[in-house]
Amino acid sequence: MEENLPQTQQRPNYEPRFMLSGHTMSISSLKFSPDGAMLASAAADKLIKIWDTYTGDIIKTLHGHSGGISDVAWASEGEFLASASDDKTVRIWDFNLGTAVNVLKGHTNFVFCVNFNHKSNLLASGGFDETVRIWDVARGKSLKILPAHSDPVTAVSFNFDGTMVVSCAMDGLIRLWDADSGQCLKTLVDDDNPICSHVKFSPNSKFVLAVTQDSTIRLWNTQTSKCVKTYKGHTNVTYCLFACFSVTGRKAIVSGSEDSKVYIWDLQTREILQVLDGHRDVVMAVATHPTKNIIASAGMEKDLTIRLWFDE
Amino acid sequence: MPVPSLKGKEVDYSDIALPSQDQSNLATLPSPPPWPTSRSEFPTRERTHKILFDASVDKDRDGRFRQLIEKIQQLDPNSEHRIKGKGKGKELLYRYEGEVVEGTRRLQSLRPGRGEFHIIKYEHDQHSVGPPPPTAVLAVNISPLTSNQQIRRHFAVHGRILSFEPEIDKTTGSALGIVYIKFSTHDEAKICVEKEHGGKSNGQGSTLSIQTIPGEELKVVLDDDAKSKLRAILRELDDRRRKGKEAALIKKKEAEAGEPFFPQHAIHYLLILGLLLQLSQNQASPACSVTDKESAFHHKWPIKPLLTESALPSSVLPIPFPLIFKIEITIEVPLTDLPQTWQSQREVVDAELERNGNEYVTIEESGGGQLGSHVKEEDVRRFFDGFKVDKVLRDHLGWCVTFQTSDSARKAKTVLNAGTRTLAHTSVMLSVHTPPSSWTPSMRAAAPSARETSRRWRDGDIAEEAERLILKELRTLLERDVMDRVIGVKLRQMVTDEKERKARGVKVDFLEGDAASEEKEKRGLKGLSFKKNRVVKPQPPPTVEEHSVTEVSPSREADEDQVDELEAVQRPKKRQRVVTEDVTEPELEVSPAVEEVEEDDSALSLQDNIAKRKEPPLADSEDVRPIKKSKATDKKKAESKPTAVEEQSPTPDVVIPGDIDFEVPVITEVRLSPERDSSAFATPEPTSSWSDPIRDGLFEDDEDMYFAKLALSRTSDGEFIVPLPRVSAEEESDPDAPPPFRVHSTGSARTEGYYKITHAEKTAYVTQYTAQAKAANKDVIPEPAVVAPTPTVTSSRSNRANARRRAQGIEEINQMQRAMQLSLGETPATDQVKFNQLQTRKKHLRFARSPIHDWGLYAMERIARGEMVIEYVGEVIRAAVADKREKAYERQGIGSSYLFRIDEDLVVDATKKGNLGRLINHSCDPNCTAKIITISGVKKIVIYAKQEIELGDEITYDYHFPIEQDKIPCLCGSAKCRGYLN
Repeated sequence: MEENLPQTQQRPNYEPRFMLSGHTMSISSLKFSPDGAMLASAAADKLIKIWDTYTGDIIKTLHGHSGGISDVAWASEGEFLASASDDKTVRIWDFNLGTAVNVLKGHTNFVFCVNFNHKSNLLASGGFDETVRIWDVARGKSLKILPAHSDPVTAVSFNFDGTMVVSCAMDGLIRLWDADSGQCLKTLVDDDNPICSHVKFSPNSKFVLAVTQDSTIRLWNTQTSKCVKTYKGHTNVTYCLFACFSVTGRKAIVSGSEDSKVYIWDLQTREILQVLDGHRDVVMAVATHPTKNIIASAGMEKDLTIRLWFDE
Repeated sequence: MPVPSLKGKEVDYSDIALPSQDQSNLATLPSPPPWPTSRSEFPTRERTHKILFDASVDKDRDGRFRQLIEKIQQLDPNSEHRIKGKGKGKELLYRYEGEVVEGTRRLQSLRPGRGEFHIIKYEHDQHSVGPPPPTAVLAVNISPLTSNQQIRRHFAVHGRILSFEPEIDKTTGSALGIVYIKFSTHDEAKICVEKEHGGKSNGQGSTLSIQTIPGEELKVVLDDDAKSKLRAILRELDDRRRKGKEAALIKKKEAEAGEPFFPQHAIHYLLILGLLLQLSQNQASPACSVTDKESAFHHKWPIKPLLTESALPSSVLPIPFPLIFKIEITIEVPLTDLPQTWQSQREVVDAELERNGNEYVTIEESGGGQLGSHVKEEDVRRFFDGFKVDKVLRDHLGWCVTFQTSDSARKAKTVLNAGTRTLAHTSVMLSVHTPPSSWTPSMRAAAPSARETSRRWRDGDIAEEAERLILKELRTLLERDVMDRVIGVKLRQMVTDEKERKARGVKVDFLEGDAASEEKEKRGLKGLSFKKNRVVKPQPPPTVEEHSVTEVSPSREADEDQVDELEAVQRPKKRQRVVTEDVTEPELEVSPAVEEVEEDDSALSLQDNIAKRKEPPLADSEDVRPIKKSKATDKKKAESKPTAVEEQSPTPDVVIPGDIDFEVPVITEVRLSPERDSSAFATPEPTSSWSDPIRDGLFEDDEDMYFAKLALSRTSDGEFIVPLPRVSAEEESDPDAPPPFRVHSTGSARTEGYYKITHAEKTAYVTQYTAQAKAANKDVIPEPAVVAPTPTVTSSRSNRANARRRAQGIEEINQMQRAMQLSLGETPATDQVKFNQLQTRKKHLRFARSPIHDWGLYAMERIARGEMVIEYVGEVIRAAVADKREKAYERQGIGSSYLFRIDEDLVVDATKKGNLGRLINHSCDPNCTAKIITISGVKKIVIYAKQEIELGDEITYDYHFPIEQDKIPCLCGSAKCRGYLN
């Protein structure tokens, strides 16, 4: 029956295709390049590795950080990457050169998350010093320091047009900021504010997807400051797991889980569409391909593999 | 009243066995009085009996009453009147009409009989009237050279000191030796007076730990809170000073007039005395205090009058005041021609000051001391940045700064004394002085004396010898001080170092392999340092003269710190020589030439050189570098360890060796390091080419260097574990250092997962916490170089962030307390410390009379639209209670209503308890709105700004009273006024 439905209505059927191994410590972040041809993985072993999405080959290894890496982000042209590390710096890497072109120093403690805006002229980073910093990528200078939270900032993200920044922290607050003025526009907070692991704008920037460490993923409407959807079923109580929108097939939410699985929920109906089983440890990092039905997921210490799941 | 005797019966009690202590008493028990006793002529209604023993309530511990009862029962047929109650052991023993039965305990009268009226004294308590008993003491005759800490320590023995106020001379800021100490109780003060009064100290062997003025007893008296005695003393001092000056002036005039009464010689003598008098009295005229060269030196030192024969008022109080001195010219102090140098310096400064003509400023350290020698003219100029500084002058007394405009000096004083700027990292006090004119009294006094010195040496010598006397005493004191503070501390440190080293001995031995003794270990370390291979480059040895010239530079002599330094230079060196023998020994073979001249200095400097030279080869191999460096420093430490000066010696000169003109790091303590100076001189030229180790003589050729590199890089493989414990020891030894960042065992922050970060840990890296901590103890934690981009925008936000953090901190404390209580088995109390977030967001407001009604609330800052203004705080009561209260308030005549309904059930009553929020008036066109918000489950009334509120606007909101029959008129005066509140 489902075969007759258009692709956007079909149940996903992801199958594992590649197992990429190379990292020697827990993989903390995975990101597909903007064109989807490459996958960047950052790990606690201080390395960033770039993989070919379609062949599973390793393309490059970027080293230079003196601390484990917590997050990595691609600039929109796919030429540069930014990484956030325990060495309190954010490094900007030139993918072609394979070296760091800029080291952004300023955070007074571990940097936890990093993201470019769509134009890739700005970069937002957050860390254990409880600030969100907005950087001018070209000059490598800090433009703004937002005393955003009272606990480590776990995620920052620009909206589509770069006018807003959303940040969340272990204090359980999700804040929306005006990217130009640095003013806090809104604070999304639940009654029992659980630790917030990850936050990102929906592709249309009207919603914010927030992962919290009460094993729940919520979708907030930024206009009304209301929680519109709640996704449950996975386990998340310790780690700052990632969650992604999957927009290539049926609109779905993809997230890792501490029970070593990857969960895919239907965006609208909130039902679990598929559970990807295979990793042998907590799946912290997941990424969805921008154009194809591909999901990348990575396990922690006991697993250390990146798996690419394809649905065709 | 005579005791009635028992009717006609003589009883021998002696056969009764009684408990030990009362045996004698009972033995002499008289016969019981007759019963019933004869009634008094005037019967009273008073009770005529007393129950001596009631078996049901009294305890008959030793069986005394039991026996007594039995005895009486036995003896007295009418005993049923005296003994009531039935049953053995349950009787009551009565006594009638004051009859005393021997053997019952009689209370001894506590009060002796009094023959006269007497005023009752009560202990002072909260019901007492009149002033409380004095809890303060006034101690005088303390040597002004005693440090305040020392005095405090001395007196703290007697009790808790609430306040400690050493008196200082108002004109010079020097200590007077008068201290007003307030204890916490009267008893403590009394004990203090008893113990301390009359104490005397004239040397080491005295019981007092503080010095008194030589020859005087320490006087300690009780003083009241109003400090009446202290004031009296100070007044007396002022008086005497004034009179003394007048007298001196008169004398001088007489002397100038050439009174025939005095022989020429006597006049000169008097002149000098006048001068000295002036000096030691800390002249009131500011001009004198600076223009006179010796004054600053002398004024700290009390010169005891030994021979008082003068027209001046004789001293009532034993405050040191020199009137006439008997100077013994017997002391041999090898002084150079310092006074002449000072004199010339002083003259130059005076001339400059006079030429300038404007008021000038002198700089003194806040503590009252003189500034150290490390202060440079640029520092001073920088300090006075923004003022029109004309000239910065320096003499042996300190710094004088003149200004281009006449009022700058005062301005500078007011601005800079506020303490915002520091001069060479020390806070300083400025004092303004009027410029010297060419004919100030002191100049007059100085001039003849100068003339005199050229003509009559005998008299000039007197002044000089007085100076020497003082110097000598100063020196002995300083020596003791240095002994106590510097050497004692070092010794202790050395001992602990030694212990530590022995404890680590096993690990250190690893380095050597077969070395067993420490001696060998050291040599082993040296062997590793390639010193033997080195071609000795003879350093120009520092000459002793050079050293002494700079150290004992004449301009410094007067400066207390300077003398201190001088002492420090000499003293530790001796000790060092003893201790460093084993270190210097290997040096001998390397550089005998250097050693000959100045063994310890050269030893140190050479060690430094070794440390330095170890660095060159590091330059070319980057990955080996950090380890090697740490090794080098480690070795350096190992070498210099026995010298007990390890922290001080290497650091400054490694940075800029030989450059004498470098920025001296701040010296907070008197822990002066002679090594710093000496090594600065000992290495006049830095090893100029660090880049080339071969040329430097460290290695003979490339091959040698290669092996050296190899040897050093091996440390990176962890073969030598020496550096590690050292590092950890250092970390542990520094409690002030911020806690080190957590090391994520899994590699990165994200992979670590969530963990609790305590408030204390956060202070290490979050600026706001750091700022808070900084407020507590200033320059301990360096502020991270973070620049807030737009403070205006972020201020309120960061305020709130701070408030949240504070709330979190308090929450942590509460949790800890709860956990502690649980562990103790108690039921945890509710949060001890509650935190009201709203409180911190409150705006600056004030209340004043309002045109609307009675009092109103006004904004003292601009409040943006939507911002919170204030919370409406009051008792939260039920609606029913509120109704009752409302009526009660009406009855009591409280016209204004401060009841605010939260919801159906609850009302906030701010009539009796509340905050400024209750004063906000109603307006039909308000600038604020009241909102009911829920904070952690509790509903609160918060007033928010509805529009921009300008400075000084009255805060109003709409009361939204329900419509009622009896109307309350509205006086809000706005255009939209409805006329009534309800």
